[in-house]
Amino acid sequence: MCHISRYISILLTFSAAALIYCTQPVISVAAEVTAITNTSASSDTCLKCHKRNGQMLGLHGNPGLAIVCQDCHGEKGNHPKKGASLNQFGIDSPLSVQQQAAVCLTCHDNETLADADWTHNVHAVRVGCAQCHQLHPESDPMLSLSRQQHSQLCVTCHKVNP
Amino acid sequence: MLHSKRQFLKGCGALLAGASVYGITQSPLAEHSDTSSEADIKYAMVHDENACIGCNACVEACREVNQVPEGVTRVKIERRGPFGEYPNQSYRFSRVSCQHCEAAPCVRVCPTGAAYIDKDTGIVAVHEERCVGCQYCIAACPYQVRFINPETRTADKCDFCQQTQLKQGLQPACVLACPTKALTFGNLKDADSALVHLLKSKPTYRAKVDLGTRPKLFHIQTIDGEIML
Repeated sequence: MCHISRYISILLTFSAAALIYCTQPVISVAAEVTAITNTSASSDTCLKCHKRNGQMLGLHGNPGLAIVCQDCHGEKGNHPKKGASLNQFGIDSPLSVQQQAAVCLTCHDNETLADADWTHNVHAVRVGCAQCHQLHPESDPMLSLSRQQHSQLCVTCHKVNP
Repeated sequence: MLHSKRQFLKGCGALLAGASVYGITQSPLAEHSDTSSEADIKYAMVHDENACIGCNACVEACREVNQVPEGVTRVKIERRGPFGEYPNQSYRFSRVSCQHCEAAPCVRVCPTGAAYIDKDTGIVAVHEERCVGCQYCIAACPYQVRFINPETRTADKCDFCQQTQLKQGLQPACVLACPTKALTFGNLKDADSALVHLLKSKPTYRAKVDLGTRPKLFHIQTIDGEIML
């Protein structure tokens, strides 16, 4: 009798483990998660002011990654005041394309990115990541492009005037 | 008397031999290739591989205009690379589509006459209603650009938009879609055309010319990494 109950408990444990494993969202992130050293920092201070534009909803907001604002945007310093050196991303950023990309490349690997899409390679020093990709919203529009949309995205910049 | 008889027989033999040689040279194949040279139009295309960015806008435009089903395509942009070290890398692109050969192997092997060269334009096209899908043309094409259209079940390939764009007096869909103007389409027999000007001003190459197919798809080679001419 004792044996039977032991078998049942082992079986239950295995099935529970399998269930947990299966229900985990399968996210394929083209990044090797490196240890983020900034463990003491948290996003709470930032979110006191940046309630709306500070929310991280997409893949980078995954609690498993434990990414905080400072990991990408840098230390606060004297931020709300002028002369603060926070990292900004996108076309209006004072940072150079390579400086912007370097922040992303601390976790992302350029070869993995090239496997996902060869166009990463040819834009490495010309276009910042954030000019195409959006991290904060729920989904990055670049991940759900159709073939036609992908082509048209190239056309928007590369169009030669007749 | 004997002497003149021998001379007569010799003469007859020479005449017969000459006539037979003349007959051999006038083969059907020779006739075939002559037909296209009489028309005023001979369409051709140039792909500038320096201007091409590999965006595939041509492929998508062709698919839409010519109703090409998913899984097959009339035009492909072959990508090679990356060349160089990250982050300064580059790729090279080459268009793969029907070359509209003047001596088209696909036309020669077609048993039903479905594959043909349009006498007025030099375009290699397919009579859909005559094609039985035997795939001889697919095997014969050295450029491997023919396929069986899964919807019509007949041989299909680029026809320079003969049935769609050219009918309306427009340039082929791929040419219009190209954002960098890497494609130039025109008449080889029109000395003032942009195509002829381009061919005269830049060095070009054609694929597999050694096969004697006389293709009409010209490529301007990527200068990056090549000898400057």
